[in-house]
Amino acid sequence: MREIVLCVNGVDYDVKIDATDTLVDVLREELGLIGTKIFCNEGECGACTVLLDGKPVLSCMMLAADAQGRDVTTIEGIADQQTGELDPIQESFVEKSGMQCGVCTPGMILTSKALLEDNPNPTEKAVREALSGNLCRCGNYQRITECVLDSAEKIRSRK
Amino acid sequence: MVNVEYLRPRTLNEVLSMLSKYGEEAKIIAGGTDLMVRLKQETASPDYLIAIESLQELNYIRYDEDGLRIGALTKFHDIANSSIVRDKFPILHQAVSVLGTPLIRRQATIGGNLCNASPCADTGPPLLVLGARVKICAAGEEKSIPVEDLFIGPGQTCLDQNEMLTEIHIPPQNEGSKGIYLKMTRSHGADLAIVSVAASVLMDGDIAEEAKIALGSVALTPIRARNAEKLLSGNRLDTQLLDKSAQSAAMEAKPIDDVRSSSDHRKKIIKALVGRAIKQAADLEI
Repeated sequence: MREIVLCVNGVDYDVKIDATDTLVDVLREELGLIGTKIFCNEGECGACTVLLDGKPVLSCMMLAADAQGRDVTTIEGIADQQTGELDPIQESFVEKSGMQCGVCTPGMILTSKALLEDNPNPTEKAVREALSGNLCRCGNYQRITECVLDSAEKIRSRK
Repeated sequence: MVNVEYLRPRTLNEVLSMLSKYGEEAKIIAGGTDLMVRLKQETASPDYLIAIESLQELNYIRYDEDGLRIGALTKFHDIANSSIVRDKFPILHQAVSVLGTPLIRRQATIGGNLCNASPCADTGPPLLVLGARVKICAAGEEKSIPVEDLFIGPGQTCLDQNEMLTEIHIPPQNEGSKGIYLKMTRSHGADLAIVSVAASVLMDGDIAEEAKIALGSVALTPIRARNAEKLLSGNRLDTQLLDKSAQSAAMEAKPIDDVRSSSDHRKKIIKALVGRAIKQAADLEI
């Protein structure tokens, strides 16, 4: 057991962890941030995706201890924390049926957020490739892709 | 998971002295994309985890007249996005672009991938045809060995308990040689290779001055198909010779039956992929 400080969605948390606790377990069990999902628990499905210093990582494959001194952003952290206004990608997912069961959705949104920061005007092919590590058991890939493209347009037009 | 102590060294020297001290009881963890699976399945149970993911001194891509040097902790995402790698060593660019998934590539490191020594590793065949070497360090020592000597079996490297792979060095390639990496998977999405082929050819007109072929997922380690190479080197490439060479490559492999494919199927794929790879590398329209 050791005590560490994790910075999640801009807030510092004191947590007690074992060396082998994964980041996703600590987020869900210790911090109650259950937006991040555990699905395959092996790094293959992307449901556990969070942003680490703005870059997507598989939180089920990361030691919580390795997240010390870094900024973790979960799905709970991308809406405006004051006003509750949704991130444009979240808006598109709501408006254009980007979710069915919702398990893959947080991962899809966060991976897309990182994609659109690197590439604000992706092709459909680029979106599908960027999301190829996020699996959707409901098979909603077509709509998810449309949501990402729609949100890209929104973000560009708001700039 | 098991009861483990987490150690976070700040320098390479600290890592090496921890390895000296703890040896067999310690495992290095970098990106974690292989080791975390084993820790969860309890097929690995170290007493100490030496966490080196943020060790910047081993995170680099450098190129000069001596060739390409990649630090062991460089992530595949950065290797795939490197214009140097894409322009000067395109076969490596091709391979790292299809390794794992975009998310795995953000986290996984080239050193970790090589030390995991999977016979299916996408890095294996390209590094073999590129003639890559790896730097291995221990407290007070360092040496360089061909990448081919690193792999000794499935999941096994030649590293001693106190040793660490720190750098991959790829020498400059012959001017005009062209490399192709082909990976056969069950689906278009992310998957381990059923068979993978790396081929590099240097053409002099329609004569293959030099040909190198390496295979992945079809033996205990990634392998060079040296008999297949000899059939091509110094000869004019035509359909018959390509067939013969591809057939030889299939015979040099020792593929197994597993969940992804059968030995027979793999042999057929080797034959098809080697032929295809050589044609593409040689820019042949036969």
